Amino acid sequence: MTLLVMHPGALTTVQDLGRPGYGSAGVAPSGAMDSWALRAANVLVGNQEGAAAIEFTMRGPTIAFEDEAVVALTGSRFDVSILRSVSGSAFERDVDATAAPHQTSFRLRAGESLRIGATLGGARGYVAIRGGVDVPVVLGSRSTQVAARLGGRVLSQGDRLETGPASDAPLRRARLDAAYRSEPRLRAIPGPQHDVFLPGSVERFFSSPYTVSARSDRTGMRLEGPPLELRAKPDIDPEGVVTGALQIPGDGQPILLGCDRPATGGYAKVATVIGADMHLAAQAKPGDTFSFERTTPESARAAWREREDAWRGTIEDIE
Amino acid sequence: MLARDMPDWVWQGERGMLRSFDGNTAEANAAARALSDEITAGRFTEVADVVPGARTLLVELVPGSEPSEALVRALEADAAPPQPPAGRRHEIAVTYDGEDLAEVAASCRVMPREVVELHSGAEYTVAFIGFQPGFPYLIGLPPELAVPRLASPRVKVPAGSVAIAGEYTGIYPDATPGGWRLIGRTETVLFDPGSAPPSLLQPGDVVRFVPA
Repeated sequence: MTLLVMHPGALTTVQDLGRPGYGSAGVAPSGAMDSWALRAANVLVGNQEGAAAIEFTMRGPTIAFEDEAVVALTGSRFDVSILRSVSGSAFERDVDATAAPHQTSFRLRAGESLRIGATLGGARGYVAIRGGVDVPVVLGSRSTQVAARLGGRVLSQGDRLETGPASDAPLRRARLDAAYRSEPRLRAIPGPQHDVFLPGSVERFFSSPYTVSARSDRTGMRLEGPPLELRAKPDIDPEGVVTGALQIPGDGQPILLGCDRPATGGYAKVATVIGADMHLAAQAKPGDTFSFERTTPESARAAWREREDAWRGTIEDIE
Repeated sequence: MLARDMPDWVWQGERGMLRSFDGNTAEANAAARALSDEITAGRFTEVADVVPGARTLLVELVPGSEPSEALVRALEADAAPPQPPAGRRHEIAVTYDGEDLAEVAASCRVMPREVVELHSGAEYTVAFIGFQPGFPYLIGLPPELAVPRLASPRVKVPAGSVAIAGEYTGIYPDATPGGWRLIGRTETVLFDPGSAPPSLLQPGDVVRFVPA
């Protein structure tokens, strides 16, 4: 099955669950920023949870399907239409557009297109296609690492993508909680270098809103708010970092590390956002605000298990 | 050996277990690499990644999993005694015509030729790979060549640039923004995702630079 990128959108990439395990070679994990949404999209179309799908940001792509397909949209809700050409015309004015469902798998006929416009909520959406996107596997993953040009590149007009072998699973729908929430509280575990900051400054960090800057991408999300004040310079001996870590450069403004982060970092880190809340960070747009709430590794693991136990239960067959 | 009343590791999020080591960078890094090898060889099913840093080892757990007692014991064990370098040896040909060579020489109060002699006369150990795929942080830089990073990083450092900053020398595998001082360049390919392993240099490997 072949798809054709008619219009690429603002930042559209192929992602799966990433390539963990290559940190000692300096390789980022990459993968879907909102991994719950990617996994749900795959289950809806009958794929393995970690199959490769398409991640889009702020404004989505227009994709033409040259063959019949089963697709599902998850993550934030976007303005999405199914385009069917009328009387075989390829001109846009002769196209019949109907709204596409969210969090529900549906069939497209050969020649139909999915036009994904602007977001109606958060930053990121996903479209999974039955069979999964079949781009070459690089270091165990089909994910695109934009900065290091690993596993492909940002999709552009005219790109053709193939899909893999399709299952014959029934159509399904999900009732996940809304991916996007305004002003979310992100739970974060203090450390490891919270000692290098003035104590009052760490208190302020955990009690103040931070705004997402426009200078944000899959590598890191720059936040603006009360600056963290350091006892000394922010440089530390470089050490391995995890996705979700909040590192503090010299200006005191936090950078929340995303999936395309470097493997090591040389700035002090005040705290790390827990895995169960990273999808909320992934859905934040420039101008949105966050606050941070202290938690512990034990609570973070419990929160992860709770979400793991819950999300599949919201998925049901509809045919 | 001093008794410890608390473990030498801390959480970085609920998935990152960060062990730190004492001593100078060479000693601490050698201990971090030894523990990295031990934990990698242990094939702990709860471990997703093992990442040596300058003086630390980060063990990243699989999402949702907890560390086994054996993993915690390994992280809390005393540092391994220093071992002679056991990594592979590499000679890397360098053309010493970097954009910052003259400025580095001036700030170190030596001639550019002496920068080349000092840099190519030393033997380096790969402390860790970081910053970008295949970028080696090499320790063993002659102290005479210690220079700070640029105050304002370059927007684009050419691929293959051989550079120095602080106590490290390194090589940019790919064109990228960067703040290290450029003293030369190499044609050697440092990172190839199609190779196993993908990074030419591994932590613990020994490197000499040969003027081309």
